[in-house]
Amino acid sequence: MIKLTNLTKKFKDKIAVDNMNLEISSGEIFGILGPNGAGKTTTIKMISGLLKPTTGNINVCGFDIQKNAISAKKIIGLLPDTPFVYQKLTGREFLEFICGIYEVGCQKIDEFLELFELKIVADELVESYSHGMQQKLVLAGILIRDPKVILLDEPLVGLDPKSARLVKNIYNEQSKKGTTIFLSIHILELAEKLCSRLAIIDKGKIIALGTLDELKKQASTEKDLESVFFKLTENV
Amino acid sequence: MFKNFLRLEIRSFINRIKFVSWTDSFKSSFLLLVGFIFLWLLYQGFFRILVYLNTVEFIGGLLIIKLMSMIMLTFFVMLIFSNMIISFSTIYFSNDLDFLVALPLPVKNIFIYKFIKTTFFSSWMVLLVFLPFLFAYGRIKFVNAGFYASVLLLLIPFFLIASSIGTLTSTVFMRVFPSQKMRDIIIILGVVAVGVAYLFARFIQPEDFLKADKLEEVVQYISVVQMPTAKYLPSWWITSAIFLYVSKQWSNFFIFSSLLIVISSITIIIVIYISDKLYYDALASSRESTGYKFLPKLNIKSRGIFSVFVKDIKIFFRDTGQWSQLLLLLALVIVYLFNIYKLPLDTFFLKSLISFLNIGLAGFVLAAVSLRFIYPLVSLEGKSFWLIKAAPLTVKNFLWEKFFMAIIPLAFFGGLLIGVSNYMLNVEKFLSFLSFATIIFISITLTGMAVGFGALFPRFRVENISQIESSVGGMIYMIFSLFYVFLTISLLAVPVRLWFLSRLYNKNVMHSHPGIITMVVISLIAINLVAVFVPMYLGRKNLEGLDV
Repeated sequence: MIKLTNLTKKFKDKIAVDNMNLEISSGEIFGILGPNGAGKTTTIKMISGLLKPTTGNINVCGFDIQKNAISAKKIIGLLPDTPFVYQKLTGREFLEFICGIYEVGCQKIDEFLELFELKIVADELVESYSHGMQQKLVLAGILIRDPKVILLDEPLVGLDPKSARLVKNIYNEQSKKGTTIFLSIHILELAEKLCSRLAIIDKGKIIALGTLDELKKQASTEKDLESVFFKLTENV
Repeated sequence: MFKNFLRLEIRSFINRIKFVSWTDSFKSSFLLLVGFIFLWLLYQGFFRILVYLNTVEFIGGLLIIKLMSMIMLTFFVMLIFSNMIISFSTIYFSNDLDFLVALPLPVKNIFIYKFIKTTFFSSWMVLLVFLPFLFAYGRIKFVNAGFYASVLLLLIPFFLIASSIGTLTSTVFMRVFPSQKMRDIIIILGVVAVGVAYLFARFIQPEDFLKADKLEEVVQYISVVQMPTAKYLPSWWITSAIFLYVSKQWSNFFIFSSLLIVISSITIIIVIYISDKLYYDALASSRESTGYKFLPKLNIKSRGIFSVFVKDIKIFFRDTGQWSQLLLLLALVIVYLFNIYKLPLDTFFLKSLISFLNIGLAGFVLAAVSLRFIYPLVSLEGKSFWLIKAAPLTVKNFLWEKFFMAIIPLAFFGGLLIGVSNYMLNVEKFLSFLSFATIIFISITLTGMAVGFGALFPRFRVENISQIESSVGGMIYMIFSLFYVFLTISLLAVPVRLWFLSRLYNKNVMHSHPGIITMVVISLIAINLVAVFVPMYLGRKNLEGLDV
């Protein structure tokens, strides 16, 4: 589904992602963990086509994101950490805009507005929405077009507990349907519960990769993910 | 506390210079050079005018004082407006306010810090434009360094009075009308006021003022002397202080200087007193008020790139800062056509010459309009540009969408200017056709250039639209677009000259020079193609490689 081969990104002299190799299959919820500045957001931005890799390849469902950008982008849904959307559109108009550029029908707009409890503010300008509401709106814009790959950068920041539970359930349902979910996350308890496989990265390199049990083995500990994370990152 | 804020500003300024990249330092050097040339030209212009006025018998000195008082009055009004507008963004909507309000500081101190910043931001440009006038005046009056030092010191209270009035107005407005809708109405009123001031400035016909040697009648002389001076305003006090210093009338000089200092102190005390009562409430209300509840429906079903077009149209008409500029454009058209109407055209030669030069003038106006409306189109995607980059759209289509959105209004505007001015000038058929066809081509090319340059120098993280057009990229676009218009007019001058000779000698000179005409046509086609496609290509490449 997602295949990263020798992926490197340099900003001037600074290496943000260093020769990353990764393969994620269909229906997986894959979590990427790491300290601030480890290269998580850069990786997600490269997979979505927002950033150009310095070297290496990214393949999404058989499409190279650089060579077949349009085909790849049609099947990718991205939720950035700060999902800024056009402030002078209403919530409904934003979803119509998304349906338009992705060329999918607008019939499900009301259904998704209802699902994310945005129907009451659907005809107000986005500039009056809170951060969490804007995040839910962008998520509705992703789910409405049923992508095969969903990329999420810190997806639960700004959400209230009810919305957080709702989106967790949605991610699980999507995964069962065969959608691949690639997410960066800071909340370790959540990563432990939600992700089927995890990668811990530091200074742009993958330092550990596998299921939670495999990571525990690598860290030689039987404790929770938090202990695994600190044990693996403090050695780097 | 203010020491810390001052340190913060100085540190930020030093870091901006310290961490500047090579490309940015090149851009800044270019900007400095262009700015210096502009100021030098302004100095030369003022110097010539002042030398000329100084030689006018009896009333020369009076006319200079009159001119200075009008300049200072214009500056004073401009400063009040700019302080009002800038204070909205610095005092109420700047990004650091949430951080500052959370600090254990009296809100009054935050206001004072922001007030000083507002005064600085709105005054430095006026000071820069005033300096050439001041040096030109100093040169004709043979003054010493003490004169410049005194005037510069007196400008501080002058700026502070304007800043106090502007900031006080915005504070009261924000407290009384915190909602978005009211702020939009204020923006519209502000734009209308600037438009009306522009029309007023044109219709008082300042060119008559500079025809001093032609003031044959006493009535004309009186009408010039009665031009707006506003003796009860600080603009007159500073004008008086300047000429009283030069004429060494020290007691009166000290009276006017003291008046400026005392009044500025009083206005500052009033501003601080009122802000102490209103600022916190106004700031809190501005964060509580929500946007519009009722919006006109625009249900257009769209797919693909057309969805971006529909989105752009909606946003343009909802952003008061954008569409309200159309009102200024209307004032510009009226003044433009009024200028044409006022031209004394009594010979065939003069009429033809003006009709031809009118194409160039309209071209320059279109260049300015495209800088204001078309150049920012890409940058206006703002922080939402990630949606475009992540969408299954090519950058090429995205740029052509901007092109096609802008081309019709610009061509219509150019056609309107040329069409109405041709009618007023009663232009001959050949020139009428030529000017109309040229302006359509110029509109198309300027649209392509503006979109292309806008994509080459995008600024997605700005607080208002004026930061986009006044950027280095905007200036580079302006230079290229003016050069393009100049080149087009220079090439067109060749066939127009042949046509004029044909009319003068009553024989067809044009047909006897087919080679020249062909060369001109080929050159024009080549220039237009290059001017559209090269910036569009470079802009596309830049956006494609841009890290979002």
